Amino acid sequence: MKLNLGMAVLAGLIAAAMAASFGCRRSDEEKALPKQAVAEKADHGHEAHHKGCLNAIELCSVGHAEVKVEDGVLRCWFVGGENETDKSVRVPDEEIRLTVRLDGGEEKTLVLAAKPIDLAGEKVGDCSYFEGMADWLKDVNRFSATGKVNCKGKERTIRIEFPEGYDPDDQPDAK
Amino acid sequence: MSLWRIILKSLRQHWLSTGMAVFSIALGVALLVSVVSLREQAHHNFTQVGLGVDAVLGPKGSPLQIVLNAVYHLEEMPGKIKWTYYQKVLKDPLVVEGIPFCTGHSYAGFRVNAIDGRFLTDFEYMPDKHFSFRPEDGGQGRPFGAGEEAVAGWEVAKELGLRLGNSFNPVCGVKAGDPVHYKNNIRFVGILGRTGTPHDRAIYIPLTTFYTLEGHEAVARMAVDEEHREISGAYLKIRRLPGGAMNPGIMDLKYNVNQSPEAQIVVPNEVLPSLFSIIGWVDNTLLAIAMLVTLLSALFLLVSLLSALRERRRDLALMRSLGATRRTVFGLVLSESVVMAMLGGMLGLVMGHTIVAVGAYFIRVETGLRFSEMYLSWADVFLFPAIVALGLAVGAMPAIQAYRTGVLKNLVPVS
Repeated sequence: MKLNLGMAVLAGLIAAAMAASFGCRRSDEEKALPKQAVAEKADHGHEAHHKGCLNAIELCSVGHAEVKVEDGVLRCWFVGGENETDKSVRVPDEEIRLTVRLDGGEEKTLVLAAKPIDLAGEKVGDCSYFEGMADWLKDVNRFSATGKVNCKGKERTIRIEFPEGYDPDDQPDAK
Repeated sequence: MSLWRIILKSLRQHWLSTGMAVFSIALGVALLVSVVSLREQAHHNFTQVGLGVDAVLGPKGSPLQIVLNAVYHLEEMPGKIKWTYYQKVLKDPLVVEGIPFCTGHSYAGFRVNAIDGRFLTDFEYMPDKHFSFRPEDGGQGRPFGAGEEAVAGWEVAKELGLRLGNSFNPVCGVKAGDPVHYKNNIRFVGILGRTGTPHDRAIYIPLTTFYTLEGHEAVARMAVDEEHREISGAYLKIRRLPGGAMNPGIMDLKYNVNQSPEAQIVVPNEVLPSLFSIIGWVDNTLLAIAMLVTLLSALFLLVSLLSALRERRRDLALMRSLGATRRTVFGLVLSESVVMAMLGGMLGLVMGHTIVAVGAYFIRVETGLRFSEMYLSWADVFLFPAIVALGLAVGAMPAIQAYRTGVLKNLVPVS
C-alpha cells in the first residue's frame, strides 16, 4: 500500500515536470512582441511595420493607411489588406487632401504629398508613401481625419483615427 | 563505526543494485546536461555570430536561406542582385558601409567566396573584432591583392594542411560533380587567424576574380562594366545610435528595400529566432526525454532502496537494540539515497560533458562553429542542488519505513 502511495507521488512528479516543460508557453514569435502587440495581433492579425496606427481603407481586406506623426509631420504608408501589411500598395494620387477633426472639434485641412520610395522604384503617380507637414500637428495627440484615395482601381474613402487606428469591424454598427 | 562507513559498507554489500541505480541516474543526468549544453551553445553561437553582420542585402527568396548562405556558408543564394541597386542602397544615410560578395563556388568541400578586399581588413566578424593574419592568432601571410590570389580560413588551412604558396582549382558549384575551373590556379597568400565562427571554414578570393574565371565568359565583362555587374549579396553595416544600439531606422530601410522587386534586406538577428522556432520542438522533445529518463532512474533508485531495506530490517533492528535512535536509522537510509544520487550526478556530469565534446567536434567539422565541452549551462549550475533534492525525495519513503522498523519484531529468530 505504501509502495503504491510512492508510485502515485512519483507519477505526480513526472506529470508536474512534463507540465512545466510543455505547458503554458507563449510561442517565440509572441515572446518577441510586447503584450499589447500580442493582443492586437490576436484581435486583427495585422502588424504595423512602421510602428504607426493602421487604418483600414473602407475594408480591412482592401488595404490600410499606416499613420505616424513625428515632429509636426504626418507620415502615411499605404499597405496591403489582411495580413499583408508588410507590402506596399501604390496609388496614382499625387496628393491626398485630408479633413482633420481635432480633439476639441476644430477642423483643419492637411494635404499629403506623394514621396516616392526610391529604393522601391516608386514615382509620383505610382507611390505608396505620403507626407504632410503642419505646425499644429506638433501639439496634437489625437484626431480623426477623412479623405479620398484611388486604391485598387477605385476612389475610396479613408478614415484615420489617430492614435488608435480605424478598423470597421470594431465599429458599434459593424454587425 | 561512523555513519559514513556504514553507508559505504551497505552500498558495497548491494553493489549490483547500487551500481545500476547510480548508472541509470547518470544516464538521465548525462542526457539532460548534454541536451541543455548543446542547445544553449547553439543559441549563443547562432545569435552571436549573426551579430557581426547588421544586415545582409540579398536577392528575393527565403530570408533564412540568405542568412545561412551569407553568414554561415551553408545552403545556396536564391539568386543575384544588380550592382547598381547595391550602390543605390549604399547611398542611404543609414548605411555606413557595404561589403559585396559572390557565392556559389567551392573547393574540397569548403565554400569559395569572392568578396571585396575590405572584408579582410575592415569587416567586424564580431563587435570590434577584425580578421588577423598575425602568427600569434594562428594566421599567416597577407590579404589577397587582385588576380588569382586567395586567403583561407583557419579551419580550411588546418584540415587541408595548406601552406602559403599552395594553389587550387575552384569548383563551379557546391555539389559533388560540379565542373572544375582547371585553368585557374589560385594561390594562397594568406591564412586567417582562428575566429571560432563559420568564416574559419571558407576560402576567399577577390570579387573581380570571380567574373574572370574560366567558363565565366558570359559574365566576364561584369568585372569592368558596373552597369551589368551582378553580385550574390552584400554585408551592410548600419549606423548605430550613441551607445551602440541598432538604429530603429533600419526597419524603414528594410521596408523600403523589400518593396523593390530586385532585392531584400535581411537582419540575421530577426531571422535566426525563426530557425530556433522551427527546430525548437526537437530540443523540447530531447529535453522531455532526458527529464523522463532522470525521473525513471529516480524510480529505479526508490525500488533499489526499498528492496535493500527489506533485506536489512534485521540489521537495522540490531543497530536500534545497540543504541541507535530512530533518527539515526532514518538519517542513514536518507543519506544512502543522497549519496547514490550524488554519485549518479557526478558520473552523469562527466558522461554529459563527454557527449558534448563528441558533439562539439562534429559540429565544428560541419559548420565551423566553436562549441565547448567545458561550457556551463543552467543544467550544470542547478545539477547538484537538484540531485540532492532528488535523493532526499526518493529516500524519504524508505527512510520513514526504516524509522518505523520495530526492534522486537525484526529480531525474532528466523529459523
